Amino acid sequence: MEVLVKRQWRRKDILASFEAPLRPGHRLAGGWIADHAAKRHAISLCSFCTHKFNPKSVGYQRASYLYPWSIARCDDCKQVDPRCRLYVAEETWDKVFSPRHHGRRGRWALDTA
Amino acid sequence: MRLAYLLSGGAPHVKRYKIGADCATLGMPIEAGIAGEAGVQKFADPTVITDAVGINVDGDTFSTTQGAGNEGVIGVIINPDAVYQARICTTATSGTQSQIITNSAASTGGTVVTITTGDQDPSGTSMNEGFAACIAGGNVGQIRKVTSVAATSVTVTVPFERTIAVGDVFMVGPWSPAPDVTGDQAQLTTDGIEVRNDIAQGTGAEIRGVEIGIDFSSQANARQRSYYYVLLDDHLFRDNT
Repeated sequence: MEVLVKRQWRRKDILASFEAPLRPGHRLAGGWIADHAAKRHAISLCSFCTHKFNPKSVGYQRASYLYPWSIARCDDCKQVDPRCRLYVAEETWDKVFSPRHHGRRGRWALDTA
Repeated sequence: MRLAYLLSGGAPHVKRYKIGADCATLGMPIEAGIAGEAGVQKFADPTVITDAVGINVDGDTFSTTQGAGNEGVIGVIINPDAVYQARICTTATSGTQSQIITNSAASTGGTVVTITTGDQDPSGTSMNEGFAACIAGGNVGQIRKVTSVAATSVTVTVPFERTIAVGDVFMVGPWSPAPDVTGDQAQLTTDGIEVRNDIAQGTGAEIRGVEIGIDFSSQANARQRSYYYVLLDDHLFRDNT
């Protein structure tokens, strides 16, 4: 409920207005996600949609580091899911996630980066 | 900066925001936009982070051209308790190796590290309340908090286990884990992805240290692959102004 009186915008309100709308209704999910992949954006997919995406075919890998999931809005169905899978472009992985938890180095690999 | 872990567990929360400026660099602090701006703002000043939203996991180009088909959005990890791994470097440009102190006077008590001519003056650019880590010599692998500094030396209260010999190499920095409130700052590189250890203690952007990770496997690795694990102190989604 919100009281209908004038109030100043807080920075959090301004930030909320910046949140990007997800896939427009007239776009099919496949093309929308392909566009994001072409820009090398991170892609979040919920547990229902993730199987539709083949990350290796576009040079992506799942961000399954310390935490196997991410909380995000699915880029396909737009549902907020606390168990989204986050996919990032392979070339950007080391810039945003600690390589200590790199998924391809094996469970017992040393932290060498 | 890179996501290392979350203090409270859970999962990283990724939100996609419109941008108000080009955001090409990944892993830099993203700040909240203010009224009149088209979206969130990229990190701009190595000494200031105001109302951080998080760090970006991808980049995009800002455009005001109609019909360009490029709205410009980035994904941001917005957890206020996210701990980021920031590489320790020494100049304003990221990618440089950390500076060192080569000990020039033996300390049998293991408490005083004396600089060699040419090393940075640890009191002129104060390393007091920071850390000293031995990366070559008899005390490799040990790290202590610096409790006083002079123009040519740093002193620790808890001694290193063995004599500090001439030629031993130390890495020093102006931060310590869990600092007091006057020391919760670190100056970033101009691209905002690394922290500088050639800046005086207590100056820089609003960053709170959680731990320091030194790679003691070799002197070169220590200088190139050591990290400061930090929280963004002035985070929009925490209690702030």
